Amino acid sequence: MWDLILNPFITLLTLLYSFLGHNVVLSIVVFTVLVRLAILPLTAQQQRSSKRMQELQPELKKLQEKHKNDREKLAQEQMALYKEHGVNPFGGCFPLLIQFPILIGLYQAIIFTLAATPFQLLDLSGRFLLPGLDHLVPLENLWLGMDLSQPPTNNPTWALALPVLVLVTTWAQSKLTVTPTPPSSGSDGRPSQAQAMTQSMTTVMPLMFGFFSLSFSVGLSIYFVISNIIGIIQYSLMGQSKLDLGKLLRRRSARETDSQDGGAQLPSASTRSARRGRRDAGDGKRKVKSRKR
Amino acid sequence: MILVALSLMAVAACIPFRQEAGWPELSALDLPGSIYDGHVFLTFNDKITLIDPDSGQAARLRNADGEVRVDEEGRARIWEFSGPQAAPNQFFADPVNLDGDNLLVLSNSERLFEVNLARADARITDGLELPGRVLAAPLLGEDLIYVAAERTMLALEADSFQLRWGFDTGQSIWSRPLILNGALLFTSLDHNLYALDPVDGSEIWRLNLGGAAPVTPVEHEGRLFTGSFSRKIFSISPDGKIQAEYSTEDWVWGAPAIADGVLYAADLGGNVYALEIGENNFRLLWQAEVSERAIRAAPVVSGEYLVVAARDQNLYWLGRDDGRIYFSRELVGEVVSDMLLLEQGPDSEALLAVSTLANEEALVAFGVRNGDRRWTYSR
Repeated sequence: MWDLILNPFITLLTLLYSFLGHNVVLSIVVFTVLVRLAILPLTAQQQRSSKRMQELQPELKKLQEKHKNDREKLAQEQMALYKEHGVNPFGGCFPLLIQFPILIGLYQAIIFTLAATPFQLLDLSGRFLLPGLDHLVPLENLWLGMDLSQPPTNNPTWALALPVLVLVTTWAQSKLTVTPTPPSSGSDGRPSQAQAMTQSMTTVMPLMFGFFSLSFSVGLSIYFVISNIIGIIQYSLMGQSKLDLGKLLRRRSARETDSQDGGAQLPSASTRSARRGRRDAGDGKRKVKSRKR
Repeated sequence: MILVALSLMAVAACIPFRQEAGWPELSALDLPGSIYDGHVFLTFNDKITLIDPDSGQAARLRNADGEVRVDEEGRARIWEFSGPQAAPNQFFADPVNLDGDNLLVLSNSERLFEVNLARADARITDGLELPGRVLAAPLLGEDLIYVAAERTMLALEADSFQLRWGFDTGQSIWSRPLILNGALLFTSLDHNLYALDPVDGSEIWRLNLGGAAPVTPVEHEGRLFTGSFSRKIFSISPDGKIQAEYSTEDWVWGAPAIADGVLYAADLGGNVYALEIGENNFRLLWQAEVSERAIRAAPVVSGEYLVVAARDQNLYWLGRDDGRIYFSRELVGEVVSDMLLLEQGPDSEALLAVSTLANEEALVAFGVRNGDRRWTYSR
């Protein structure tokens, strides 16, 4: 069953290796990009669903306050609210569930294809779905003096930079992509359960992945780094991240259009208004500070 | 719930597939006059154990008077070598008899040990450092030892273990070298069969086999026979020319067995082939689809049977004439290691020693003619 995902991935990765000048790192990069692109519709659906749920949060909170002593009524009202706004509360989970095996398959395909020990090579046999790939085995797994099939601890010292990169990119991705939760839910001012979980995830996950990368092969660390970078770019372009690359790109293109129109020195009305808004906000801050003094 | 399910899946996905790089290796100690003559070395992962083929138990360490040595608690000490405790080693290469008193043990953790046979301990506790991981047993030449350390074939001085020469190949070397007609022969995963001058390591010839070649060729009547991941079995002349080849369904990893002019080989698709060896060709006598899983181990010829071991945890006794399965024996673990035929004297039936990946059946001995299970050694 698992082979239905794994074998096509292994075949694709080996094909890419064949086309890309037997460069296994480049193959992993392109392979990761292709698979992430293939599951883009699922990711987008998941993000849309999570955004809609986020938009409903204030109303949900009001309902929670209103029916805090009647759980049954609360559930009914919540369902009615979801129905009214056409939101499926589990809409974000289904795409996630579909994506997850694919991402695990992608990860395992890299392990299989980088086969470096007799056992790994034995497990690779019979997995190619296209003829003519046998002669590529085993893939050349030396890159920048590192054996991609070995963990950083069995490689030159600079390989230890990879777990650090995994940690940093995982942290950056979780920081940039995690949807902000309301500051607190209870009257006691303590963080809500969801908020606490989110906070711990953004701290624990990068540490966990960084730690795993010390014992995983270097090739997998490269995959983690690439995957994280792609994730950051993807979320940013979809306007879900705090780092809204799509917005930045649109703004830049608007500026270029302005300059082409001869108005390089004159900001557009919207930009002027935005700047004024920021200036006003800044003045406000200054006033608060001055009052404090 | 979903978070828990995803976490479980993530944990499952993150578990490394195999802790071990290779599989158990079996070899018999050929040392007439020694109390351990005919005993079997079981080399796997973190230790090497010497097994008594009569009892199926680990051999007892004995003193000069032949008495069993005991530890502080009065228990018999067994023959077991695992290297220094502070720096655990992985062992996948058979030990080799150096001089009758000492063994040469190479580890996948890049160490070389000279192990005293009587005491099962290393002369230098931490061993000597090697330039790469070792999976294949070394070969003892006249005054040199040939060691495949990752991608390099090394020649070490037999008395000092100093490096005489090294020869790099493009990929790992997993096959034990052999010397034939004055040439050192070995295969590499870089697809080549190499012939080197054993004295200075200069290349005499190389032959591209079209796919990774992980196994030592078999010599028969001056010719070499081997398979590769190119899905082919080759007959090769002593000067490195292909004389005949036969296409198989899948990768060939195990060495072929040859008897009465017939070559028997298996592939990783679970197929077994009987090929009549011609001057410049192979003629298929029969082909049998024996297992749905890979057959990695080399087949063993015994009387009218050909015994093959598959990853489906079964041993199969095939008729040498027709390839039919006459009977089979089920095991607890996968079998990927080469089997070992243990002759028991002219009046006794030979034993077939089979090692599996399951600790409870680390080594099992069967009567080779009828498949009777004689003993089982558990790790």
